[in-house]
Amino acid sequence: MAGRLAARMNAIAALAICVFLLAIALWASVSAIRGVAPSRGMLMFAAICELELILQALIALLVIAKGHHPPSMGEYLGYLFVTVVLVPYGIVRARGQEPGRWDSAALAAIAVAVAIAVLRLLYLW
Amino acid sequence: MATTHTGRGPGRLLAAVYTIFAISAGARAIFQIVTKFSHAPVAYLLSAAAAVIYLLAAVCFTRPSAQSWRTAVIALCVEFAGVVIVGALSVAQPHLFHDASVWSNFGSGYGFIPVILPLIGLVWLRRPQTRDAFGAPGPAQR
Repeated sequence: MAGRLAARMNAIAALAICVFLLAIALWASVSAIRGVAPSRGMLMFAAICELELILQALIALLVIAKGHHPPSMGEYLGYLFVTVVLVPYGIVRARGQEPGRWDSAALAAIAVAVAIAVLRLLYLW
Repeated sequence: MATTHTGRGPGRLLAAVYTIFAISAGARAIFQIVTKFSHAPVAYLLSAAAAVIYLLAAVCFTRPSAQSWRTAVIALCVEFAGVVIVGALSVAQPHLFHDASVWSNFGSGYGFIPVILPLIGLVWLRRPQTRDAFGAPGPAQR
């Protein structure tokens, strides 16, 4: 019972993060179409999302350390790593020299990729 | 000037997408090789090789020079050949691969992006503006 509740909470949290990421993707796409670099607000939003992703990864690692074993452990850990590193990469790029519309497009692509990785994690758990 | 770069153009998006793929394919391959290499060595080594090619292309895209341009063209051709050959083999001879690699079934696990990406990259590299940005010779000068 407690296990099923935990699994549902896990799914709800993952879906919430996906919605968050897709919102960033949409926002960044609009910026790319308008031809502007990611705004400060967007990057703040992305940073908050990164905190959620780190929290999710820490919880997952904790549960794994306590004995949970995803059927395909290597793949699971690989995707977990992906969910944590890509958003910072997008933020660093967008703060580099002469950011432009293509950095917004890159951030949108990163947000979509991470959202897919989060869904894969849910599936592989 | 160093900041002419692949510039402000779509190359920045392409470099980001190649980095995403390098990290995704690489992380997955490394963890799979560490945890259960013997289960499907061919698939995992292929994923690792794919990751190296993605990384090579991403680096070339961000450091424009005539040499980078040539290396990127070769990397993307190898990448495309890899997706097509591995994709065809994984459909025709599935017993060769005990687990999915990035290029299995023409990259269906990654929304077929692996088979489309090198084509987009090659079209972009062949544009005259891109050749100029890299300092690569145009088709007429070769």
